[in-house]
Amino acid sequence: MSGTGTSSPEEKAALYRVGDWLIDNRAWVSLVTIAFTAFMAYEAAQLQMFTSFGELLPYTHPFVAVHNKYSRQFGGANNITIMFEVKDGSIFTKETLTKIFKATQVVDVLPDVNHDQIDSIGHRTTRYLTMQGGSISSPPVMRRPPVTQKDIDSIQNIVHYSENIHGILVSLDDKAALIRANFHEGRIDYRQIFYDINHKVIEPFQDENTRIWVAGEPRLYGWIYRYSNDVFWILVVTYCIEWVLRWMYFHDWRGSLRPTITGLLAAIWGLGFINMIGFALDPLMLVIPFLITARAVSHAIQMHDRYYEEYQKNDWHKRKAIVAAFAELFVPTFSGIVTDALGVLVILLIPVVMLQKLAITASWWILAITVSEVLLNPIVYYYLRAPEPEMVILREEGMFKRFMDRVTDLTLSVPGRVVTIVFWASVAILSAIFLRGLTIGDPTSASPLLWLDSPYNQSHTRIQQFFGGVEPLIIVVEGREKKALQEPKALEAMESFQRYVDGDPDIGYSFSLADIVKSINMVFFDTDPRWGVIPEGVARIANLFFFYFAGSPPSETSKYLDPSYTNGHVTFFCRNHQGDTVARIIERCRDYVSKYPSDKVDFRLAGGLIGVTAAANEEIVRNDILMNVLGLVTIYLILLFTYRSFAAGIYMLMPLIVSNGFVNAYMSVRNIGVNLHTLPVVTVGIGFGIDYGLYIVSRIIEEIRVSGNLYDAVKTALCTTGKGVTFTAVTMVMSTMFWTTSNIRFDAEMGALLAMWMGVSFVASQTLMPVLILIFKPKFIMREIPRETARAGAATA
Amino acid sequence: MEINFSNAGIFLILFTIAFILMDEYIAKPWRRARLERLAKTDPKVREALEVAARVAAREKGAETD
Repeated sequence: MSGTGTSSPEEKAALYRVGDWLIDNRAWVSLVTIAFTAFMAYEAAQLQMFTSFGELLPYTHPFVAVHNKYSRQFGGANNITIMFEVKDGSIFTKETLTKIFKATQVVDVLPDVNHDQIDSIGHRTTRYLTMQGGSISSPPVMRRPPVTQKDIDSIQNIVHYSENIHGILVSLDDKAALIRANFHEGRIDYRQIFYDINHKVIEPFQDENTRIWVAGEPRLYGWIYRYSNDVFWILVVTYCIEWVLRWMYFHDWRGSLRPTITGLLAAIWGLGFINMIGFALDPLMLVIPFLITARAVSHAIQMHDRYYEEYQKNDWHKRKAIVAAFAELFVPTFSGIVTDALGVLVILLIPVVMLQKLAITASWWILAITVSEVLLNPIVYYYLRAPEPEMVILREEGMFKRFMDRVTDLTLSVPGRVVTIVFWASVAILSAIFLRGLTIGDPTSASPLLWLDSPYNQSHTRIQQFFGGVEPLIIVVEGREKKALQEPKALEAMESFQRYVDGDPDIGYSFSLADIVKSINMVFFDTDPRWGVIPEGVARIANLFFFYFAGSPPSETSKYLDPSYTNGHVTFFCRNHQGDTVARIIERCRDYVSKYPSDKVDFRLAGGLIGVTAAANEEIVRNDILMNVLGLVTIYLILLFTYRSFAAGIYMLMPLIVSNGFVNAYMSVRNIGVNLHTLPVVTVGIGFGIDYGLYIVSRIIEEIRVSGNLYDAVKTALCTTGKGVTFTAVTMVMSTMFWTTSNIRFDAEMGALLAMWMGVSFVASQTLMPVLILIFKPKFIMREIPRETARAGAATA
Repeated sequence: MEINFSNAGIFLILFTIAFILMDEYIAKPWRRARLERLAKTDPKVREALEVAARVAAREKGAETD
């Protein structure tokens, strides 16, 4: 093999011919590109932004199967919790109870709400047990807003004597009351729900004495949609700053414009493609398209830098310079793009629809850079005026160039090599120590998607303070025969399971059919607590159910059990969804199921927010390491084909492995958990880090073919291509850092993480990799020394 | 004013046009004047300007031909 470490002289000559051909056929190539871009722009304009909760779930996980099967009946993960808190007095006043009643009516008509899954003292499905005319009945707590003091006292008494209400829907100090509603999963209109809650619940019912707090997944996504416009601020600021930086680097506007054209074309094609295949943009994934565009710009900067260099080398002949820049950079640019695309495609292996969609769209978008950057390059340059020769000459004498020379001399000197190796070895060891604390799942009780002081997290925390657990874990109890849940043994198993799992300190409270049966039985005996037990006979239990459910429509009873009395559920309301809490509670459930199997019922794990969170976390544990390994293996294979060397991949992956370790250690120290949202971002980072190494190694090979001296080749590569790499890395790190200003904490932290990823992999590519090449003199580079030079060297020796 | 896709896009297009005009009609003449001033004392700058003049003449000749 010879050439730029990547292509033979024949292949290189072919690339020169392709460059010439593109310029000769520029008119129709431009026409086709413009027409296709216009079509894609039309498609991109139709693109919508939404999140589908179902697409966030790992569909192959058994928990998700249980969740999907029973969520409509027993409650899903899309719950909204609205808390009315009074400053003075209690909620038992005419005004507050009327507000709660009316707000409940509003919630009952929200779009996509499950009308049978609303819990509030103002809702028809919240009932209490009473003896009327020698029989048990279960009327709603409030049929209408209270009118007299007697009505208010009656409601207060009912609440205080109902175990399923006091402490659950009304706080124990009577200062707060909850309205809890579940929404049908699918394509929920989070924006509309957010708007309705603000304008139909908070605005009309909040006053000086009444504060309304709202939490839950639909509200969380509502806030994320609200903040998603931050992306436009970030886009505007980074665009302007990058323009100025590129202008300062290239000393003319063409240096600013050319990368913009590449980024814009790729973005239009990428967004258009997303719409064409029927996908939508997820507001939490906006950081990824931004990064892809940044990569497109970054490749363009490399090309533009090379174009300047070739313009000078080719005695200021524009066309020759264009073709030479195209031919010389084709292989590293193309390899870089393919590596990025395939690195992202690895995400396809995660069985989560949203991530799979992301893998497909991001890969296409990255591949679109091939056309916008590589193939259109000669044509765009042809139409643009050539740079001013005096600026091309003088920028080579500039401060930045001198800085690069000095730093390269220091790094490549013998003491510099020692310092470099010791430094990166220390970084690797420290990273390995710290990354052991990396959390899977959410590390805090609040939502990690938003900042701790965000209105959402403040609401979440406030509700937790009054009611403890609000995040449901639903364990479905499947009877082995019809009417199994009328069997005392089945109910006893439910109760026993409930008490066992209740032992976890992060369970706020729990609820099951066994609780209802015990309450009804007690009411039959004048609410004597001694009778708060599960009756012994099947007939007795069947009777209790009959009395309790007789006055309720089937849609209301279905939230407790199915009409055939076969399937029911035990629901635990957990205090938080931290990764370790979820894992511990699920383990407790599994532990009970394996230790105490029942011959009447089976416990099916698990639905509700905690159930699906557990499924996602388990999927991450399975896929996190796999993603990283597959990402690195993919890159290694591409490097193997590009450089036709087994060693090339090892040298070039070294900076990536160090960066990956460093970023994971940072996540561990900063308490950033790995979750379904962070997983693709880190995987994308792996693919992007390789580009720096590709450009530098290709240039080393190119230079060694001329000079025949490894040190000189490395030095020249770092001072020429390395200069472009440095500029690219600095601008990319800066622009990615702007994400830290986002109101969406997830985007901000991902911005910081990716900036760190690119920063560390850049420094390692610029220091560690060249030092390793100088020390170990790899064959895939040394074999490129021209034979005459090698022979002369051997003779001298 | 709330920023959105449309007004962000319009702003960026206007920014790009304004920046190009600024470079062409303000920065470039200023740069040129500065280099000509520096050329009196700095041989490297003088040499660079001579190259630029030679290339410009060649391009002009090519256009005339």
